[in-house]
Amino acid sequence: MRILAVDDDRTSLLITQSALRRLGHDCVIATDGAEAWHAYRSYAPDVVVSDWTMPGLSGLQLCRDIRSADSGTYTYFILVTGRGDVEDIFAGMNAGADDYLVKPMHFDDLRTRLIAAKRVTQLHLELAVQRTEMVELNDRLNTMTMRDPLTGLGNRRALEADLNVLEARVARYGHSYCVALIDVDCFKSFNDTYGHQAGDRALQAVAAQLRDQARTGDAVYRYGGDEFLCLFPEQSIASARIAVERIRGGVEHLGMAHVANPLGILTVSAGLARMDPAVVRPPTAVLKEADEALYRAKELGRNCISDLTTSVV
Amino acid sequence: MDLHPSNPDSLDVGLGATVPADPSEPPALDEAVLRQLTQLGDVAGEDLVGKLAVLFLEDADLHLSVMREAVATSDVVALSRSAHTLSGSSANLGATELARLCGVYGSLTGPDLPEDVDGFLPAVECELERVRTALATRTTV
Repeated sequence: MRILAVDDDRTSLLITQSALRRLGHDCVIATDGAEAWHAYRSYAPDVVVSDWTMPGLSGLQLCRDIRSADSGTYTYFILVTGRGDVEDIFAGMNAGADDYLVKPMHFDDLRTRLIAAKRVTQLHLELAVQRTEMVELNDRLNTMTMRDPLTGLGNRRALEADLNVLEARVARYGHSYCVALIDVDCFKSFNDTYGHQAGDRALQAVAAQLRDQARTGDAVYRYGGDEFLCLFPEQSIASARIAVERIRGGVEHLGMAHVANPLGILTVSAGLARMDPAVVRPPTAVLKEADEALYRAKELGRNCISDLTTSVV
Repeated sequence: MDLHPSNPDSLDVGLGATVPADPSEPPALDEAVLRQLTQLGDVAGEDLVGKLAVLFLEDADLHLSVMREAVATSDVVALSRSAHTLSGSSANLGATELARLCGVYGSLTGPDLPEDVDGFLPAVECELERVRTALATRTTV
């Protein structure tokens, strides 16, 4: 183990250092609390064996400082007291010391303490690894629960979370946003004609267009089935329409055969709606308006964008 | 391996260096401790006892000087601190009697010097000389 030995008495320190090396440990030394603190920060020891009484920073305070430091790893702290005063020992243990030794230091006592120290630091190390793995696993699970497995876009759960954030910004800062609901034209017929696997590939192709055409700050989701949704924070209907038009055009440009679609290729229609901060309303109301606008786009012949406030492009 | 075995039977007093002149007087150095320190040094291929002797005597003289000054100025805190440190290093080196003498003054709490302070320094000086002699015989110090 990496052990920091601290004592203002050079004789005791040399004996401790020799004993630690004899036991096969790497050892650095410090002759007062301040020097020990510096060594602790730079050497990151597994164990500190520190004298209790030192000028300046005492062993007790050193222990407290180490316990307060967030180093990411656990340092086993052994206080060495010359007095063996039980109150000193209680104070040390309450300050965060793991164990204590009384001078004169017995080699076997030191060896015994270090056996426990190795076990405890190893356990802490394993706990730290497990904690890191748990955090990573949680991150992965969180990602999985927020992503649509087919397209890799955010799913309904992610949309709800993001809408909650947007709604809070609307309430607190008077922010606005636009919603675009995008639907693949005649998708049921596409599936019927080309099969569901081809349907999945078509959805992936549309998702790729959404992802590629989205600007920084925009967010895209698979809303369900062949429906996709885009969020445009702080966008007007006009600027959101420009973004959606790139998507619509991108899908059209793919030229994927779709014989059941009157245009003969895969296309999408979109409905736009805006959350105007002057007339605050819940996301469900905005989505409902976007859905109505999408319905209108379908009625107007598909492969187009519509909203309830402006004319069709 | 024990640097400081508590069993008196384990003490090896066969070496003349630590056998007191007066059989009723305790040895200046605990031979068992010295033997273990020697073994510790041998493992590392160094004269650990020699190094410890040099450090110990340098620091002991310094502490003695501080304690003299502290007694002269009635500085109980300084007296206690030096006595405490010297007690610790003495104990670790096996200078048991010196450790005991200093240990008494190493935990002073009162604002005033103890009543027996006049006898304290001479006793420490005397015992330190015994330790010095024992170490000199044992090492090249």
